[in-house]
Amino acid sequence: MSGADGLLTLRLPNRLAAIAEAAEEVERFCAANGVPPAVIGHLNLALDEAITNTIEYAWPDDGDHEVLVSLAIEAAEIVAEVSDDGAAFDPLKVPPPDLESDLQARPVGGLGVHFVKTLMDEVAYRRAGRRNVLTMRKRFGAP
Amino acid sequence: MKIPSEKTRNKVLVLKPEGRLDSNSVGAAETEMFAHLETNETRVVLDLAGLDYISSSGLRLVLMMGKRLSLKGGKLALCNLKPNIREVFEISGFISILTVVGTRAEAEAAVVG
Repeated sequence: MSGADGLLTLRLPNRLAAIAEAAEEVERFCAANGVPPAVIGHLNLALDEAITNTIEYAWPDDGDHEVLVSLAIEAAEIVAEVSDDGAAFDPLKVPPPDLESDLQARPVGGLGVHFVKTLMDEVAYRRAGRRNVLTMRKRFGAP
Repeated sequence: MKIPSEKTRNKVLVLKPEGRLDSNSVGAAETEMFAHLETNETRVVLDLAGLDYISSSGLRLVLMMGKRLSLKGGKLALCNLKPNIREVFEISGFISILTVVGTRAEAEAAVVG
């Protein structure tokens, strides 16, 4: 739950329905810490894309798993981390989407990672032990 | 997710998805939207006035609709995008391959003409 110290940690079940609920908590936490609404919108879309990828691809079984999301607000920057103990996967190695071809030729998909890269200022992936860790940074003007 | 629909006098099917079109809701939305398209609809407007949020999963569905309609000689137009929704269409590059207009009247004219 939200803390007044600029830190938020969420443990999400690997169910897509959990993403919208998490977005509400992220919004409350960020608003309380002076993050502008437009920045909150971008952060929540980037988180959605990252968490959706994790839930859909990290675990080949149908079992219960957990996605860990943490947010830290320091000065005028949000640092968000999404991590899981699923199969090693670096989303930043996904090839960029085709943004040029016409309607019929345009591939369906491949946009999620593009959104994360476009909306955030910095994105980094690391494999930490048995975990995938995606770190996203977004700066915002002083409130 | 709820997708109210209506049919205009010009035989335009207007679909109005509401709320969030994301990875969680897209499966149900796809079933509902494509059920409409099965009935030989060729003029379709997506009125997004009630749509609060869209992710890449939702965009994928819109792209699939556009492809399916254009394959059978139909037309799709989108209107009433909230600023945050429009921004997502711009980042995805879909703005340049789909017909995105301001008002409902413009959208209906675009698919009838």
